[in-house]
Amino acid sequence: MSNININGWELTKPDYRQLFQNVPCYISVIDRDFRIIQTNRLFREDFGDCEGKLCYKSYKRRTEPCVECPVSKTFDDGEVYTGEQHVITRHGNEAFMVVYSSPLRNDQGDIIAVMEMSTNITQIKHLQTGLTMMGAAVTSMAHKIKNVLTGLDGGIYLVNSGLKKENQDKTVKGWSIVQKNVERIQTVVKDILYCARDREHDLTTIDPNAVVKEIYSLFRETSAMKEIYLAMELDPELGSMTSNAEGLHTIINNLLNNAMEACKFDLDKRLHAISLRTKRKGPLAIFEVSDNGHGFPEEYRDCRFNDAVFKTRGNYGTGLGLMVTRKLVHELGGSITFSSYPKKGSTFRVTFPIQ
Amino acid sequence: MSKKVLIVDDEEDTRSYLEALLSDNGYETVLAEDGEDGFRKLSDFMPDGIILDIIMPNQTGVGFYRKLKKSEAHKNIPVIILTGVSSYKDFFGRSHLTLPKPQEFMEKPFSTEELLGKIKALIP
Repeated sequence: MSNININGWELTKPDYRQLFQNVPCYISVIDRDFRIIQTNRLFREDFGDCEGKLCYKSYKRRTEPCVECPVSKTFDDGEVYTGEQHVITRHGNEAFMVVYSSPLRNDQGDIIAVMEMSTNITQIKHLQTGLTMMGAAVTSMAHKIKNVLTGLDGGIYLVNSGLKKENQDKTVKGWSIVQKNVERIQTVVKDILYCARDREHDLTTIDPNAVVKEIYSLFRETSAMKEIYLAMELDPELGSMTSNAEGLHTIINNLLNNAMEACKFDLDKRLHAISLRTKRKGPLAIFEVSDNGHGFPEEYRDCRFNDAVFKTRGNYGTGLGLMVTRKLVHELGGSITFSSYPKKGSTFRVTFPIQ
Repeated sequence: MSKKVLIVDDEEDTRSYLEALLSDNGYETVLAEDGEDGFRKLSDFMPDGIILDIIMPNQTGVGFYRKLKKSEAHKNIPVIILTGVSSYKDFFGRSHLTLPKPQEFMEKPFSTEELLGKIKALIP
């Protein structure tokens, strides 16, 4: 390795090469056919050896060039373009980049290639998503708290009116309303505290089908009262897994509550159904909760769990239940996704490694 | 003869609250748990006024209000929107442009004095 002469600022070709390789951002040089000609060290570390390959295939996993391609624009007019891009690393992880495209010219001034220089902003993006989620949850929480406060006002009014008129039935009814709403606010506060803390879970060998069965029996009566058909389909091959039974219980419980809400607020259908499924797929345990409720609006079809859920469900609940669910799933080493069709319903899928 | 108020709200506690508040102040009440239920009771009860929530299952307050305004027999009944939603226009969507505005709008939690004042003014 040569030493860069920083005193005289007379950089040699190997110096430039070293700077290109070691600069702490991703650099790739791309030709007119979208083929990657050169990459630097950090690029190769995270995206593999892509030289000679098509850029949109290598880190976008696309079959054709991107619609808003900065490289293409730079080739067209020689200007520098910048934008945010979503890419996939060689390990299959999602990453968000700020990308700059800049022309590389020959001695005649013709553009012979375009350099893409990118900075990884995934962590900033996650923080941004967290803040957006928090904002959406706070808004919807305010709606829930308003109803609780109205309930408390009502309970207090009935107690006072009952006492004044010596009407015991009225007093008792008012007091039960007060008690119920105190419990509701306790649940909201517990959920808020849960979201605010990081916690470790005791992992043991559990029977996941038994946990799901228990929740099914808890919900069967409530769903029948609400005229929602609740079905359960358990994969006997699932067997046992290393997890936390209480945590798994909360996850499935929250997803079922969420599905019930989606059915409750679906104005288009008379008959509603929820399906609870477990599956084993190789080393993975899969838990699915499907409903035929209102589904997500079309514009959220391509959204990730975080973005979509809180925008839509927040209209009806506090959004905290799903926030807790997401946190628990991640704490237990799993992942959560959803698929949804407007007015047709949604499926939430939680996946855990069995060991 | 006491005036009649239809209360349409999916929260049981709110219905009980409004029922007690109004009956203590000389009004007769009938309770409905959503827009559909409310519309069923509308014809039988023929209220002098309606207190209407917005977010409800089966039929929302907006759906109920739209149907109400299309009904020759009921379209002139005064309506007070009582909701946890900060801006009812968000939920009325475009319909607030084509439908006449409700007489009153109040946000939960509400002041009993203010609500009673509005009810007394609309349904004297």
